[in-house]
Amino acid sequence: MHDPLGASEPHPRPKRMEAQPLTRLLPYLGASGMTALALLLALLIDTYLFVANVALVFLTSVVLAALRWGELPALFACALSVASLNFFFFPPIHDLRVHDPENVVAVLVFIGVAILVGRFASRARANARLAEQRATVTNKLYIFAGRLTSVDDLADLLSLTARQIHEALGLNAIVLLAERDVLALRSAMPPIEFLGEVDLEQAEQCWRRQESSPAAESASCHYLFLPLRAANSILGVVGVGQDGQPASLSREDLRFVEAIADQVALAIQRLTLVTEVHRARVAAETERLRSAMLSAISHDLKTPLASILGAATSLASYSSYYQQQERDELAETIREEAERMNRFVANLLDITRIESSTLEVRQEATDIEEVIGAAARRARRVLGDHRLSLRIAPELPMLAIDGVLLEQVLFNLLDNAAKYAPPGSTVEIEAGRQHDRIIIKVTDEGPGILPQDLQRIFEKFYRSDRGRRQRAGTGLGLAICRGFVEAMGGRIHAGNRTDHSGAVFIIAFPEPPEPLSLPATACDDDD
Amino acid sequence: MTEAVAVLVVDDEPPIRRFLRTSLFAQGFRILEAETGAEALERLQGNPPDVVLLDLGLPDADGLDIIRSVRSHSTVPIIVLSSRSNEQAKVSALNLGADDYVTKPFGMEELIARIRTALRHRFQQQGASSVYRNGILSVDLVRRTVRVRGEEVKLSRKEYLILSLLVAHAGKVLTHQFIMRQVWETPSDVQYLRVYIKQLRQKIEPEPQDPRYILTETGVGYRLSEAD
Repeated sequence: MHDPLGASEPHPRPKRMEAQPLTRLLPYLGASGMTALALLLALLIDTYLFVANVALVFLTSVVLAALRWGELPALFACALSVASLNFFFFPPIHDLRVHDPENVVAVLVFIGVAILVGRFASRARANARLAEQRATVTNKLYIFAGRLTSVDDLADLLSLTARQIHEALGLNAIVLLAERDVLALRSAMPPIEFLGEVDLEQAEQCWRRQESSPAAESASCHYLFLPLRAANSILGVVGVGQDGQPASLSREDLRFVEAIADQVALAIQRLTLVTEVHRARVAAETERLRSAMLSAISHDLKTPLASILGAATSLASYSSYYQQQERDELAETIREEAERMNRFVANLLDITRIESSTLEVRQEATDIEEVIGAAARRARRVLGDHRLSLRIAPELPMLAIDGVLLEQVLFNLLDNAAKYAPPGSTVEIEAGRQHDRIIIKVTDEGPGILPQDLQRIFEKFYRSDRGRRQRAGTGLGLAICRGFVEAMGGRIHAGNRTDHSGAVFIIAFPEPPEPLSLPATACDDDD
Repeated sequence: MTEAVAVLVVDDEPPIRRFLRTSLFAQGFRILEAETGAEALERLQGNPPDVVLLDLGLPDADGLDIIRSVRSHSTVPIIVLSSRSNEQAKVSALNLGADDYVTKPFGMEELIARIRTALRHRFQQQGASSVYRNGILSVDLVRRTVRVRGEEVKLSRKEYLILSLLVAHAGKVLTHQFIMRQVWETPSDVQYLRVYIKQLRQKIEPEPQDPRYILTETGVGYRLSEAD
């Protein structure tokens, strides 16, 4: 009987034909040896103990041969034993003929008992081996099932399947899947480029009839095909072949391949389901983003446009009706709204740069203090009546980051603080060292961030309820902050202050391994 | 001035040219217009303008090439109109000899200030004022003295070199590369310059973290704010 457990080595096991003469002879040699031993023992017993009936000793050797090698070698041992008994112990001694009728009966009884005992013993042996094999197969299937669950890619799953069958049974294994009503080769072990027409035809028949292909129906077919059966459809087929012929499988092996096919079918279904769920989620998210983007764009472009157009047409048509102060006010409206629109368009461009990965980061020795100063100057208009306080630790090392991007990040954070914190309150930028990182903190005295928003506040087009109620921005500013900071190798977090109401945004960069700043001597001069 | 200052506007967008024409005319400038690079170079041949406003994104030519070819025969001030988030283009334009830049979209105050600074430097090249006064800071380039609130401040040689360079070009942006070429004989890293600027600010700025005099143009260079 062929044995799946013998072939767990990754290489194909030796072909059966070559192995047969030796394997087949071995049990008989063993049985002969066993009988020779029995003969030796019987001669000793006969010589020294004078026990006439040594048939039991031979019977023992037959039973042992049956247990060890099965029925035929046992019969062989039985024949040898009868010959030995006859030759060495039954008169006329050293003659194979039997004269005594009593001994004829003894020989017949011996043969009968040997056959019976041999059969029982070999059956017990076969059962034990079967049980052992089943346990091994079960174990293998169990391990295979475990591996299947951890695979989350269809191609991996299919190649794992072909490999498993190939390794366990030493067969050529192929897997074909049905896609849009066409069966296509998806994996093979050992690898093959394509499948012959006859094989494909057989595979299709198996797939359409939903049952294993009859072996050797066509001479030029190389595989035996088994269906991959799912709950309500056939997903594809598994083909097994050997030496360019459909594999002729023992019942055990067939069961093994079928079990694998069942498990693979299940796993394919699970994967398809996961992919579909994922696809649906992505589609929903894309849809959410698209509608958020549309509403943001239409709102954030139309509102300032309406103000600008209104103010401009007022100035154009009714200029003479207005006092100077009113004209100034209209002009100021145009200016402010155009600036707002400019910020929004700039944000759209920035987020596009981040998402299309066209963002160029110029890593260059950068003095954070200088960038904070530049951001503060740029944000002066949007900060309006807010006080800005800067607390920058002395002797901060220069960081290899992009100053332009950091300035934009800080500007966005200041812009954000100006929107949420009440006029007259203080916005603070603090920079310093914390453990092995350089930290920039932007804090305000606004209402802070709702706990449910903390996680999502950096998402594109995400606007908190609070943000929606107040006249806040587009939901792009913080997404840009995160995109820029991460592109520079830093991290950004949002939180709430503990000492006061208000939000805190923390930017962290790893401290440079060697300080970039100059040794003191280079600074105090000179040539 | 007997004749109005002539400004050549090089931009392919008619609305931009229109509002520049109107606003600059109201400010007393004479306006010349060019829609393309070729037209701009032609305009510069005959009766050259006093200042050029050059859009870097022209359809027919690279703005940088135009600067290069203008600079081969003329020192007319060039102010670049550039788009946002392209600091590299600004730096290249400045290093090729452009005098300053404004970022589109820009306000008229900013543009007028840049034009006036450029013109002042053009007309003052001889007999330029040697004293810079702004708020609490005064720098005398002849006596080589720097005073803050009337008190003399000691600067190291390189600090003074950098500051005098900024004073000589007060109101104009100077690229990192330009300053470093003037101050260091050998090419060196921009971080050296940053360290010196930081020290200068410690000595002359009332609030070094929020500077009022030496302004940072991130990604481009430094600009000393205009004298009072």
